[in-house]
Amino acid sequence: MRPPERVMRLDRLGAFHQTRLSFLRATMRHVAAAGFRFGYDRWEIGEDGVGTAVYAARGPDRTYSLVCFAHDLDPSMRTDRVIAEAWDATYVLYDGIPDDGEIERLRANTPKQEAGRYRHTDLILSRTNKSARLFDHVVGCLAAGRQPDAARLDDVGYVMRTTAVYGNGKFGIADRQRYAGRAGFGGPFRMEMLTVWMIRQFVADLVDCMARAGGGDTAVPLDPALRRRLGIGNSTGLGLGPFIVNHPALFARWIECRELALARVCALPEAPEESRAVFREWIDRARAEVAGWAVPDPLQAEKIAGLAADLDRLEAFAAGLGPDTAAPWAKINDWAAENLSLEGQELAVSLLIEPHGDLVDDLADRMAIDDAEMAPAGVPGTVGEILRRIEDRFGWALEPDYRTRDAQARFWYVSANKLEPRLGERWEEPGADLELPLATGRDIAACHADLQRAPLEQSLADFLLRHPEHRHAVRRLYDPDLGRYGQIRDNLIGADLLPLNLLRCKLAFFGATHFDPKSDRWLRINMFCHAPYPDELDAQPPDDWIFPQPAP
Amino acid sequence: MLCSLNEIQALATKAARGAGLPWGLADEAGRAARWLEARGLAGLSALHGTLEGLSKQDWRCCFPVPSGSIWRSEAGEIDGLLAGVTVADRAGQPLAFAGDGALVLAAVRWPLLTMPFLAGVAQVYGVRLIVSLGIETPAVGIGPDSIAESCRAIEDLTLAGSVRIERAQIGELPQSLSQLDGSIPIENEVFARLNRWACRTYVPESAESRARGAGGGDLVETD
Repeated sequence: MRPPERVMRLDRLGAFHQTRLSFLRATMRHVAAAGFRFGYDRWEIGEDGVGTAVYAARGPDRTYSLVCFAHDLDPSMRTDRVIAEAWDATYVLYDGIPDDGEIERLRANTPKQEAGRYRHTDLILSRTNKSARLFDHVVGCLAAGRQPDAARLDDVGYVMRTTAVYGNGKFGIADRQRYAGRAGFGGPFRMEMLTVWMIRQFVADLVDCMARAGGGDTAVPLDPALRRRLGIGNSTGLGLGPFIVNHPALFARWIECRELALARVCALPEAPEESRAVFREWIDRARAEVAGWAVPDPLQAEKIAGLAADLDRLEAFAAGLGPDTAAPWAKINDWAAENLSLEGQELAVSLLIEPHGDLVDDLADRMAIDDAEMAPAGVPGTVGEILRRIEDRFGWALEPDYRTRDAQARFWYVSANKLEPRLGERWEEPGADLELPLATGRDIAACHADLQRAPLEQSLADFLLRHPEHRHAVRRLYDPDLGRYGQIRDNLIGADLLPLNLLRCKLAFFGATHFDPKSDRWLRINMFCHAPYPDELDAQPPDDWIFPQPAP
Repeated sequence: MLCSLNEIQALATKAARGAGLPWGLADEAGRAARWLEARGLAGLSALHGTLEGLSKQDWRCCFPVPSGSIWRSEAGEIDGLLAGVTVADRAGQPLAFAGDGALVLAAVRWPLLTMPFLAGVAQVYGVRLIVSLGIETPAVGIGPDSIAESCRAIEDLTLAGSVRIERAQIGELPQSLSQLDGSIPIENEVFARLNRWACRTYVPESAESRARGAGGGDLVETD
């Protein structure tokens, strides 16, 4: 496996792409394999596109219902910021089949989102806004009896985008532990992904419904092939960053599974022609994907241009390996590591993993951890032992000179007005005394400095009694679940921090594509673009879509 | 109001931090409150009580001094949360109850908050523990994941003259409280009081943060 000092750097993590292990792909594979049936139980949407719909996902053991409320939103109220107070449509994924009373309860709360209250029967809470560029255009075309232009669909990629998908107990909804033991839903964010996929179905049905309302007999439904070009968009801000720092054991597991998948592939002694053909096909498909990945951000646009060139070189190198080459996948990976950009290296990882579902897909079910209720009792060892541990394994944390302004230029905090994570400028803004404990490197270094002043033979438990302020750093140093990949080896409060890297990394694990940075701290993405819809899962393979087939 | 376990943990963690505890201890407070509420015990209410006390004095003096078989604090009264943390940190060491003896904590405020930590301690030693809080309350049995129903008798106990911890004899298996998995009833007043502390961890918006903190870039939603 690749060493953590190579993998756990922010610039590399921020170059990750989706893989077979990504959560939305794993969710779709499970739902298809388990034989889920989808349909709507209720469709009470008026000609104005306002009303209620309930979709059911019927699995072998239980049914999940997506309860959808479509609203008439004044365009001036439409904002992607998580701080909005009204949306075009709001949703709850409900555990079971809601009766009329439950739907009325949800109707009283769901449109209010964060300002509502929910129960443990409500699994996921979400909302979407229309793409002003595309929604009305698509409805207008269909109402007039013609299909919208494919290029225009591709330009945006979705007609609605989520601005938040809440799980795990927020505002009273179900804690993850309620369903983590259910077959197929133990993996991370599976309920969230099921919700977004079902939302995509609702949005497509809403488009057809509104076209019929506008065009009557003239209207046509959206062509299925065009429809698949539409994913669900998403706007994501800083909130994702603290998550992966605050859940280091979980994040470490995601990284470890991805690295293990790559290691399994690289350990293969040979590559049968069938696998090589699949690899070549996916390079082609990746090229089509990259060609359609256009963003206004100049930095990302430059990386994408480099990535396109990387794919050509990757293809040429792979083609040059004879059929008798020993350990060919490892050779490709080694070559990529030395010759491609970070974007190219990490896309190569995704492509190497892609033909090997039989070898790696089991790892998708190992990417969650059981969060212990209490931290493990017992703080072992002495001051001398932990000093050695820090110096052996956490040298990266001691490297920056935290006395300089740049090394502590930023601080993470929660804003009082919006209750959302924010990044502040320590020397220019008030509030650094309320800093969140995300400065992992600096805090380990501060702990190290006090440890150096303590007697070497002092027990760590006694050290913590005298220095309770170092408790969160010591937990990180000793958490046995963190493994090799438990620490991001960069200064998370430095002047050169690019928070976007944290967000991109997590979104890649979700399975998002088309990363479209809007600043250094928020971006738009696409999810399920090219995927089959729930209503066509019988006719389409569930996991052969993440990159489109190139145009003939 | 009905709350999820995660909500309870997040509220408790932020409240403890807002009341002045460092993040590491606040994290322990959040876990302990969740552990108790998941078993139908009033963890948030006890945490509110304990934070009231800790925020009014130098909380560092409310740790027990871990020496011998009777632990006391410099402040005169040991805080229940800090007692739990201190015992749990020493799990695996030859504490008095590791053998046939007993560890006694003298004068413990809100002893309910000590209990979740003792569950972890029981796990480390591979035993069940019996906790006695004086003759007026029944002893409480604690296993690695469980706590006896008798714990209800100490839910509202603000001060225990002593907390005596010893190993349970074989055969003493008390009826345990069952675990809840969401929609936990929390008194509005308790939630609101803890939330006031939690709000102290939030940074008010300033002109600079409005311009920069959220995201910058083009925030006009034109597409």
